[in-house]
Amino acid sequence: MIALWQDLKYGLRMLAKNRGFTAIALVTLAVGIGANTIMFTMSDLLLRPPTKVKNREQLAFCAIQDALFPWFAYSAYLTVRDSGLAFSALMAQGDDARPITLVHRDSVRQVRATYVSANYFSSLGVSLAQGRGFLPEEERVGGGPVMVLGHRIWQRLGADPNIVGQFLSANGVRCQVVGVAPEGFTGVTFIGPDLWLPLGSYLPVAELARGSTRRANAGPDRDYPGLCVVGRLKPGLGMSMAQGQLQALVPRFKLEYARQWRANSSLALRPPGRFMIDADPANERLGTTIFSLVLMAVSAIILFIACLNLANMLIVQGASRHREIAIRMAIGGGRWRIIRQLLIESGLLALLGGILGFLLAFWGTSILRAWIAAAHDPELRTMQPGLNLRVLWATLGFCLIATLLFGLRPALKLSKRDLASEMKDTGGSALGPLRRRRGGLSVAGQIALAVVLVLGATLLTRSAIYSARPDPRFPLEDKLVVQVDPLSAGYDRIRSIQACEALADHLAALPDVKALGTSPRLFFGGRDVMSIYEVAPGTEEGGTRKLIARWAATPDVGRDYFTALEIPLLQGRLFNRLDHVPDAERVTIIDETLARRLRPDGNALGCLIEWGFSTEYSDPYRVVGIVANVPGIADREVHAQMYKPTRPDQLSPYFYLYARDMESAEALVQRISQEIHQVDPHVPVLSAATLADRRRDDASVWMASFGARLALAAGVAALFLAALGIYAIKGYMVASRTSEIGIRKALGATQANIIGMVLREGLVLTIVGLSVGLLLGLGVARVSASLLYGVSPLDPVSVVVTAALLTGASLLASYIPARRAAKVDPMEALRHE
Amino acid sequence: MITLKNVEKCYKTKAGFTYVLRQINLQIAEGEFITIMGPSAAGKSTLLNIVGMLDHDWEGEYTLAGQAVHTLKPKQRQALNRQYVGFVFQAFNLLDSLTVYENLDVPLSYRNVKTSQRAAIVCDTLDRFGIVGKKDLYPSQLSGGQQQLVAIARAVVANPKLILADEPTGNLHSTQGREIMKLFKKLNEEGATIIQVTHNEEYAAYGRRIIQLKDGWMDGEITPDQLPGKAR
Repeated sequence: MIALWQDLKYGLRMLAKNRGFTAIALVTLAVGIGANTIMFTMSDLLLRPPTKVKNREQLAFCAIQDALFPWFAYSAYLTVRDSGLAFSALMAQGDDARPITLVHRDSVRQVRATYVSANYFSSLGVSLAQGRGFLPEEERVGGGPVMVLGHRIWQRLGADPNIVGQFLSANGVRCQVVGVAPEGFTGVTFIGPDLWLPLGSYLPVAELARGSTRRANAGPDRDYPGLCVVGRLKPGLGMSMAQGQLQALVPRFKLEYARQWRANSSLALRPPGRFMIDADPANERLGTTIFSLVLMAVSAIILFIACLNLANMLIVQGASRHREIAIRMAIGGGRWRIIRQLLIESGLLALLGGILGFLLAFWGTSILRAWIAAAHDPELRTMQPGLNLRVLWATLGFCLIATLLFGLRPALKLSKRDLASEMKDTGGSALGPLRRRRGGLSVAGQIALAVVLVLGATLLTRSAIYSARPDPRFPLEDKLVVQVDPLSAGYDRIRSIQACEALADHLAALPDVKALGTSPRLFFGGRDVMSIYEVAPGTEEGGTRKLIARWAATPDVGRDYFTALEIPLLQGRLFNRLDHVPDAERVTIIDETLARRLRPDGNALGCLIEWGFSTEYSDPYRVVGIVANVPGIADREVHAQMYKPTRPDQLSPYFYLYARDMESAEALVQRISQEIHQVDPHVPVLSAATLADRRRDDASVWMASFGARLALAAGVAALFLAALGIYAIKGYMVASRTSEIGIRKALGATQANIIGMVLREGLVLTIVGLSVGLLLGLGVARVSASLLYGVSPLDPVSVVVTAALLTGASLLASYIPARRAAKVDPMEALRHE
Repeated sequence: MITLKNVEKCYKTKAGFTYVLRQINLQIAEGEFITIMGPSAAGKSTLLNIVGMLDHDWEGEYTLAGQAVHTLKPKQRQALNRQYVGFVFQAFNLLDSLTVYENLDVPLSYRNVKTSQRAAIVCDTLDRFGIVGKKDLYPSQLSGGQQQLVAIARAVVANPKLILADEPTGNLHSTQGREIMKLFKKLNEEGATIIQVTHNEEYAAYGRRIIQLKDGWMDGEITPDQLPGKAR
């Protein structure tokens, strides 16, 4: 123990003595371990199960297989729950988190809400941070609208400790807050809603307040959303046995829900998905595992480069310690003792580097959190990476790996030296050709690895830049999109429609507005789930359909939508007021892609088409106009579009404004809320932004940009480490060649000769490393071409940028030792001999 | 060929100035063979380094082949070094990573001799020193005597008028030492001016004049016959 303490003390003294080496080593390790800690934090975030749910492994998602739609009707849920089969507790939640306009005092925001059964919190084993969960009577229609706030939204509302008991407006319906969920609780899935409402609130909040009418002849199930059902298995009951028990209910379901259940439909149990409750966890795991593996592979390369640097630095530095080690061995130091001493020094370095790395990761993670918090997508915002105990353990693991990676080889190598020859050696000898060759190979290897990362980062960054840059054919900066919500002002559907029309009239008359269009939902290009069919004339009723396009969108548009969005008319006409009146002939305007598919000869006007989804089809629409393709707002892909005129009873709360110029667009965004408030102070404005901003906020654009930032950070780290490694190794190689350089100078070499020699050697290694790295990098890029958008995996710009960056970094890293070498005093150098 | 007037060199230390050479006055004619002797720390190697223009930090006047070295800038001194001087070291100081041939080629490459001429000169030198058979070997594959032979060949390959040898036989046994000294004598007879530093009286006697240094001062000048243990 005393010996170990002595080794520790000596190790610390050695680190303090070689300050330059220690500083470079610590920076190298901090970057390597820090990058790994950050990437592990991201992986941990994606792979760890949702927290706060008690014994999540006991939960089973009850899936309806091979039915028309996979959701449970409320009565079917009650049947399973009350059957007593398989589950000790069974809860239900709405099929999706739905947008809700939440008004609290003066703040209006759109949030996402999930409707759940009364036993939701109790069956998940969650104790609320404040208040209570839902009561059985609140699950039934007429039970009185109440809500449980998520912890984050409670904080965003001001973290009022007395929020329970207060009333908030949800879609214009007064709802009493009965509880606040604990911090970090996201429900069964990893991404949770902002708040929860009982199933009984669905009808007043999601339907009636949104302008739907309750149909008199509809059954009670219509008052509830489609339900996802999750149960806690009875103790000792396996998934397959429980599934077997549930089959007893299938005949009854087939009888009672004949429209939904088919002959081969069945009930199946599986663990709930991590991201989507009804997703197959195996598929989800595959996706997240691949993503995590990519992250970890990138960071592993960084750590590997860091350790390679250090191992080489230690080996090269070992050249100056071989006499010390030889003497230690000569005076009785065993090999194990020497190895232990060297490993303790490496371990100390790794530990100190790990502490710095952890601090770096702490800083990096807070930047990541800030990036994520700035995302517009509420689901993305729920992802909050943070350092936890698992991450701390992982960091310590990385330190251990690093110690073994960079410390063990030099320790074994140095402790195996030939005593006799070491003792004869006078020290300060030049590096032998073999050792120098190994150092050179290592530099080339590092450059090659760095090239792979830098090339990947450059490609991803260029891809993200391309993806973030709007299509030049459709400028988005001068287009505004405004969303209002008159329903949550307490207006009924008709009054809401009137309010929207009045607002549209007012905004269209503003001098800064060139044109104004409307639509019931945000739409600007992109794909949807509809299929488009051609209907042969005269066979509208039950006639044959010819599939024209899949994944098409069928948006309803009003007023001057095409003018407002600068979508050029190519053939026929735009919609006019008569197209919007009740009982008018159903007409449509299609884009040129669909027109070409419909009639390749270019004569699509007058054709009859209809849209369909699953087994449902629309009435036929006559094509009256053909407009230009509109690329998807996010992916810039062109998908078939079938535009329909909005119906007079349709609420269109989205306004598209074409500003006179870009400056007025920005000014308009500022003014829009005031204008709307002037016209109707009750109508809340949920958002007002340019389409360019909306595009930037799009989840896929954001993800591309986020990925590129991560890749860029990894690329910069790799570039930095490679340069540092080259600098360190070249520095030590030059230092070890002091006598050689002295001899050369004594033989007549000028400073330029020496600088040229060192730089030439560096350049040769750079060229070798670049060549190997580019081959590897382009291979990796080809394999992962699906991650790139708008950029070829063999993108010449990226290759040139990478080569220039690495060459520059390498030459700079070689130049500093070269200059130092050139200043070697031959007299001093030769005195070492 | 060489004139040194009041050449001095000192280091500044906390205690003041420490002199390693004091008032060195020396004249060496072209074609002379000079031996410098003296105990350790007498300043022998320092003097050799000043004469070889490896050391620029000294005071006094130094003229080499009519050029006032003390007025030249370091770069000009380096050029003069390349033109006149060849060095031989006690520890041979061959470049480990280069073959014998390449070691001989290095001084020529620093003097911007054309590649074709370099090959001819190196081959001629290898032949002259009888080491053609060793041209592809690395220094580590040669004996000490052979290494010093190569080192001398390297020193003379650029045909210097002045050969400076700092204890050239220090790492060699007596037979090898004598061979090397015979070689120096031959080079001197061919016209090269040689200044050697040695502790060995037998080898010192190869010089026509023996300069004795002590504590940085010139302690006298003797002829080989005046050496106490003359064995020539």
